[in-house]
Amino acid sequence: MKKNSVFLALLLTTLLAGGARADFNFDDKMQELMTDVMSNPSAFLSEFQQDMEATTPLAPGKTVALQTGLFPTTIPFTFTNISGKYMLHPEGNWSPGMPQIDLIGGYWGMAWSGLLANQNRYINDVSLSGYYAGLLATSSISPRLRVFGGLKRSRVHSSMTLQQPITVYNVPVNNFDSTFMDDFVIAGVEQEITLDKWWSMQVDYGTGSKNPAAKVSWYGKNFEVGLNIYPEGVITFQPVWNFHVEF
Amino acid sequence: MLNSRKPPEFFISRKPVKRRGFPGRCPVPQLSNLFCFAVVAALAIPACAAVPEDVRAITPYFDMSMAEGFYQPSQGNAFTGGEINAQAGLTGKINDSDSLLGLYNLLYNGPAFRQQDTQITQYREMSHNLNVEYRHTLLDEHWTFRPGISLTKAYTREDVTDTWGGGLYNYNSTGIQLAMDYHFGWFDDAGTITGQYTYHELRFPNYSDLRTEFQNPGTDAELAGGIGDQDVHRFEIKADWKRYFGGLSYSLMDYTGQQVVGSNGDYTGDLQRDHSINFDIGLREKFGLWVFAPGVAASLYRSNQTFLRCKTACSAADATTNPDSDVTLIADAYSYNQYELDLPLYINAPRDAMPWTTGFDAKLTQRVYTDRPPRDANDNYLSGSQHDTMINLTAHAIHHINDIADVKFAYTLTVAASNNHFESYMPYNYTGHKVSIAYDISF
Repeated sequence: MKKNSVFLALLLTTLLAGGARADFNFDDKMQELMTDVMSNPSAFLSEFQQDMEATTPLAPGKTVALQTGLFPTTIPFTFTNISGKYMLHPEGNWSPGMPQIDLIGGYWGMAWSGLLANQNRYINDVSLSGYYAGLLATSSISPRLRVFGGLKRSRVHSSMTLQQPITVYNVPVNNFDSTFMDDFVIAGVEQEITLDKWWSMQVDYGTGSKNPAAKVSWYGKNFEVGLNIYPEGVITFQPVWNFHVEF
Repeated sequence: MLNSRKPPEFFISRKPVKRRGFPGRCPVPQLSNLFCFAVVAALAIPACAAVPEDVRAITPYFDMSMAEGFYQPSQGNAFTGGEINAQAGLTGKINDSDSLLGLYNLLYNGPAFRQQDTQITQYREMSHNLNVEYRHTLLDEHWTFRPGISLTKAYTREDVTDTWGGGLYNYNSTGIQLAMDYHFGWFDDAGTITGQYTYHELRFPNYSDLRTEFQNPGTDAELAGGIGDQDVHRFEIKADWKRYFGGLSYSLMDYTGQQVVGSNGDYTGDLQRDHSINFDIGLREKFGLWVFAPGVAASLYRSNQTFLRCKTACSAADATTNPDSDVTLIADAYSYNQYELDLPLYINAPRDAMPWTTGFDAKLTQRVYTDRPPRDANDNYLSGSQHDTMINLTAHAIHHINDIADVKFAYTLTVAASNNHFESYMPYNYTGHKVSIAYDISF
């Protein structure tokens, strides 16, 4: 503990005394981010879709799971969503060594899109939605360690029409209607920490967009907390909070 | 150093340093293919199913790390950048003396502080690599013969507005390896001497003839691509004994299409040929729980390519008719000597005994060009030779999440200094802070 305190003190000292003159320009940064979003809104939203997706394998002995993303989806953006998993094949059932096969999928939409259009004098119409579906194969390396891999197809559609053009950080916006669709390869590892508590780490790779993403998460019987990293995304770090039940 | 676990001894060729400039730019040898992931994954899952390890004919290997950092330079705005390195491999034991190894590697490197004259900070690269290596032990297991093949498909982007697939530096690589290890015991300590030859064909489908494009804007030369294609030969010998390690290598980058620009600003007909001699030596010394692993390295890089400095418009006629104008040709502009000193100090303790560990690293890199003079802020050449120095000071803390996974928090102070002050395309003199978080899992 003492060593950790010494280290943290040293780290803080180094940070403060580093000598670099930090010129962080908030407006420039926001303009850069807004330009990224407006260049492909659906690709931007696809990162939120990945936050709510259920891409870890079903627990051994379970057949069905339902999941809904709480943050940063339902809260604060009202992205109402439901995901499901269904075990097509338990590990080793058909033949020894045959992996567990799960069917995964889900759908989401923006619950308050109609209300947003009606109550907002700038927006005529807005529609945001998406879905995904795929297969996961999972195999045990040891009693507490499983590797999984799979494929999924994700699609996001977004459209918005404004009553009058607005300028957002020098980017004029009239309307947009865009669709993002990609096939992803998933690879990851899951470890059981204690009874009914798991830890997993996975990498997703979009074969069309060629964008990688990574996810670390901890989950128990009902809740999952995680950190999604989108190195090529607009918001590179996205903390995730999901709720699920398994039967 | 995150921990002491090492991946299998696959051959992954060291990259020759990438250089920006006109006209001779040199990217790298490395390895790949996407379907390979599916192949390896498909093989791995049934192969590593719950079977006792001691009776497995096929043993899986998996290592995945991901990091994300926040960068604040003294020039320019803050940015973020990440790294992902995912490896999935299989070792298939054929009999007591023969085995076959396959490794797929997905590698992503995002924006970061980079050494001067290599790449801009916003450069990103993603590669799919596949290595297959055959291992045959002979003569009472003192010798191991390791031939292998490698495939790489790499995508690059120089900015967020680029698209994957359209990068100027995209490359494909196919390569072979011939390696021999000699295992010995000397004064009761085991050691290994490795001799290795690798050959890679590097192809750059998007790399166009910038010189021709500049000088003849109407030409369709930009559609030709492939001007950076090169064949890379590498000879290497390295040794590891007790707590000492070192190596010596020679690389030849033989360009198949890039010609040398002559003193009149036009192509000479001679093909570009670059040579590199690299030497490194180090040791690992334990002081209780602490490990100190200093290392030094030196590289002598020689290229016959020249550099045509154009302050505004640029043509061969400018160079010949008005040598005092803004067109200057620097011969051997890419030849340099580079020296590196690395001083890592870290705790190496049993994971169960110390869930938190820490470490520090000081790294100094200095590059001295043999024939390239520095420039002032207005792109005018000065006397002397260009010197680039970069210092990285890192402090990190590692938390062992469980017996196979770590999370690492790190802070790095970067100081870049150079007597070259022409910084229109990339920074040479700055101070930068980096704060990062990294996850690593390996078994």
